[in-house]
Amino acid sequence: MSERLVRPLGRVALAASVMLAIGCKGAASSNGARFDRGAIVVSHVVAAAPIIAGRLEDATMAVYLVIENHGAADTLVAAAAPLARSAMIHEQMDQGNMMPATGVVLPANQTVTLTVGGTHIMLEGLHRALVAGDSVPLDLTFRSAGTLRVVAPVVSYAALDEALGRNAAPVARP
Amino acid sequence: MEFSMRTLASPPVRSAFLVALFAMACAQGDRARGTYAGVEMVPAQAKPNFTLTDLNERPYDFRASTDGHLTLLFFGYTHCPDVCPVHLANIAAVMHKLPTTDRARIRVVFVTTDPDRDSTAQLRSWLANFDTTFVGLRGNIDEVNRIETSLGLPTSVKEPVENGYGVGHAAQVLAFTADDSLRVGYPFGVRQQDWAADFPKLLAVRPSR
Repeated sequence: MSERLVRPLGRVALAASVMLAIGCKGAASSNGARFDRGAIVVSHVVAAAPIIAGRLEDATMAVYLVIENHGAADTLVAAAAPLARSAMIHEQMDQGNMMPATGVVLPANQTVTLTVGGTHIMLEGLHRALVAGDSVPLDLTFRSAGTLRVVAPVVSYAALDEALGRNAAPVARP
Repeated sequence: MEFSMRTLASPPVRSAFLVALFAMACAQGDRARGTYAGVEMVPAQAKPNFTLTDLNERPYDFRASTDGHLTLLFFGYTHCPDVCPVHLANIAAVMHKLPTTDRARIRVVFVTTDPDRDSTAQLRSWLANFDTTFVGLRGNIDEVNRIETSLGLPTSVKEPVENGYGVGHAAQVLAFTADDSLRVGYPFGVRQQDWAADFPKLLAVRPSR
């Protein structure tokens, strides 16, 4: 029960349909950087500035991004961040609970969006206080494509909607 | 709570409420049909009566303390990855652009669904990142769940994850207008422009006496 594989086309059909519905609107993202390796293109990488309410080592930071797969099926299997103790793929469950995921399935020739309210990369144990305006490097490891270094600009939660642009469509839950 | 047990909390009505919250999610691009960006309660429901502990460790009588104010009630927890901070940051950003007189007529009340980890100090420090006027409330989790149920919200569920646990919680902000009625539910996904459009409408509802 502790690990799950995120299947974007699977059980989240309802959430996905809602997501598409909301996604009908939204300004273009101000973050146009694209990172690619093999058939994989990662774009719209954004990190939410952590809200530090206690010890820095307890602070977490969520990273969102869009993964285009222009080739055969692949899987995002791991993430790592030099500025954090760990980086994990988290899937949010129906009730808002987070579950570690063993990977994000990337179907052939499809785009998968990791966005607010849904799956995200969670950095835990930050080595320094990151604030809006900072940048966070992140290494994404794909089963077939290998490891890709991306850089996420850090934005405040208040600026997150705008920074995510068309990808800001949250995954609605009951 | 009697009112809500009869109305919002009955399974069919609660389901309808939740479905409506889903359906509303696209209201942002298609607002012509409703007054509010959120889901309007028709008819409006009465404000619930409960007392929890505030950040000064004193009893906070929700109905009495928010009487006559536009009140936004939200259940969440400080380890919440994005739903809670996005909601609160958006509300704070829009409130900070309102005239001071309007802001003084608004109460934002955040009830933790994770009282074990959210100490008073943790909750205060976290809320202060958004707005120091936001009210933080704690209480026994059974009491918090009872309040959520009475409002037709799903109760909070604690689930273990690696290195800790997550806390499921309702993702919607409930808006009580100054006539002390539950008028609109705002699901996760409302944007700052939605709040900017709705605050004047919500504030236009005057106390009933």
